[in-house]
Amino acid sequence: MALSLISAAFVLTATAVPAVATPQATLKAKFRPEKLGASTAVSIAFHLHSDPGEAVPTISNFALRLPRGIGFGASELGLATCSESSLLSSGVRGCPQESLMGTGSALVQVPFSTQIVRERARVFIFMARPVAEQTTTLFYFDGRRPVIAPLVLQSQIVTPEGSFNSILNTPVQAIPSAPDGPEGRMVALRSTIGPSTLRYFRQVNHRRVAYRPEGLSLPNRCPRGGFRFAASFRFRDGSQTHAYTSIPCPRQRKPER
Amino acid sequence: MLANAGDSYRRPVAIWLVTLFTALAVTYIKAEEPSANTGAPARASSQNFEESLNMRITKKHGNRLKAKGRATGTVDTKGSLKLHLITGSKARATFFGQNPNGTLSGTIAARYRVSGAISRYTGKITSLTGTGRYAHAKSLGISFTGTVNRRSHKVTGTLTGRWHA
Repeated sequence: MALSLISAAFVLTATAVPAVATPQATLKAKFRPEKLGASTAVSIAFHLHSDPGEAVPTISNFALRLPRGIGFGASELGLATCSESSLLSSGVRGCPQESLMGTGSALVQVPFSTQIVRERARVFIFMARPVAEQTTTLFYFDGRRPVIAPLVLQSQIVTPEGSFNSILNTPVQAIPSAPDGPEGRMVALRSTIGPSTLRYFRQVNHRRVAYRPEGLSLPNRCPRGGFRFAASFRFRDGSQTHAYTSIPCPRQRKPER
Repeated sequence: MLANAGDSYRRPVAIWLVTLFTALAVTYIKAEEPSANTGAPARASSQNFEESLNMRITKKHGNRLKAKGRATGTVDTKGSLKLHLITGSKARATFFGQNPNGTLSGTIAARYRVSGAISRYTGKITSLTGTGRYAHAKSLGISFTGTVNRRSHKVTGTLTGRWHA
């Protein structure tokens, strides 16, 4: 009886939700260099595509599943931390250089009444203090007023119980645009963690010497099927979409005879 | 009639056998109990285990780190710690310590988080074995907290709990 009531309620709920045009998502990932056991820069890019004439719905959560063995623990990225308040008050200059871990860009749509305005924002990724005992990073969107105000998104690395993959989970809050204007909607993001241009400084014989920090470490062995990434997008209207990609295992060099 | 005679013969034997097995079982269970319950000194006794690790990363390959240094406390050893970062927040560590009395090795399952230069690890020992004086080593619940300084490559940690020595 109870089961049939729950089933009936589920059917009613399911039929009550209007059909939503969920956008398609594409995901790309790249390691540079692709060498097992070495440190590397990881580039991630996603793009949301909607039908012509339709605006992409507003993202409420973005979760990126990382391949097994990938994390910041063995890297030199983010040797200092930065806070959301520092970023919002002083921008990138408000953070220590050693807290910067990566850079990128994002494409944001703002659907004003007569047209959709597209704005590209620079993205900076910083190490932050852990939240709820989880490694936390900050994505700072350096938007240009009046279209998009600067925005900080907090991303946490979580590993579900029994899983061998970490998830970079990012709740996405409202993207503020012009005063009293509509919310911005993120449609694309391209970012690189541990890029070759990143420089930290260390003291050597009383001199400040620039060096490139070691990026994320690739495991010594390639997982079966390559390094698989998966992205999950949840939208404010309740819909969700997923995208997958994988980086094939690097070819092993045959010993020269 | 015959059945009744057989039953009357079998019943005392059955009762005797049940009594014998019960006595044997009780003796076996008593022997397996920790020495604290019997009051008799035993070869393997439950003791506090407190150990401080002071090491330095000597090798790094991919998501595996190796540290060497000293462990002091309940057992003073020279040793090594191998850290395998399985995911962005899970790690497994194996340690090996050696002194003139024997060796001690074990596995730690841990979670970690990165906060600037410091990675903090918390977990527990999942297996503990040894040789020589520590041949009967067994973890009775030993927790681990540790840090890895990603800038200076210094590794510190504490192991606290109880063990069978």
